[in-house]
Amino acid sequence: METTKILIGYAVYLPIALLLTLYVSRTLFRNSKIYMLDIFKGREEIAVATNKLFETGFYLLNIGFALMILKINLYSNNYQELVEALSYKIGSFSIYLGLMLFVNLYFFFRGKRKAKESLNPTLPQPPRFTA
Amino acid sequence: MMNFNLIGYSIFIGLMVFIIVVVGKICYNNGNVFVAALIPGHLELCKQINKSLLIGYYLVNIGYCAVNLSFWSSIGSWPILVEVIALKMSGIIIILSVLHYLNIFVLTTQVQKLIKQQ
Repeated sequence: METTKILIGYAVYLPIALLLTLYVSRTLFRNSKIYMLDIFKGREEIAVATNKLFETGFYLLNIGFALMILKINLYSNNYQELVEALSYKIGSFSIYLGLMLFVNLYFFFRGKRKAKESLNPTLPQPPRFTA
Repeated sequence: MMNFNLIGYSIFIGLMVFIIVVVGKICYNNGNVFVAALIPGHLELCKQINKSLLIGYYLVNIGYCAVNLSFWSSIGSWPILVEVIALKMSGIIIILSVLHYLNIFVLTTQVQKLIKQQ
């Protein structure tokens, strides 16, 4: 068969991309519970729910991107081109995953900073009457 | 000669319904807290609201998947089958994730405001 190399490429790329996504998101969201507890001031059920929702969004976004860049084009049907194309795909996907990881970390730090800012209570305002 | 389009449709619908149902279940279970915070003191009402939101989500998404099937071109071989399924699924999953992040943004900002009010 003429196109078997491309099918081999897909069979290698898909499990690697999915496992990489799984590993990164499990590492990130196992450790992010502490930040969430800090952001929501110890209200555990909201923190756990938000953490789970962010995890789902992370999975969806990354698996969607992994599937979007799946298409492989080979000029000639040999193993050298297959390995080069695969390494390009998997490398760019892992760079993208790293960027997403840092974006999520930035969100956690930002939320933590905002929660700390709102910790010192503001004085109650006197009632104002407007016409 | 087998029809690649029919194989593709069955795989696509199976995977998409699985993903949509799993995501809907997760959002429903974890969204109860947020919906309950929006109308405090009416837990049963909030549960019903959340359930009807879930039904609406299922209807819209599975309906969109079914509509998407009518735009496929004819498929000639296995690699093209894999590519087309991946592209179509990625489109729907990315739309789903954008909607999901929008939801998270709205929910978290609303709940922060509610906490500050107390």
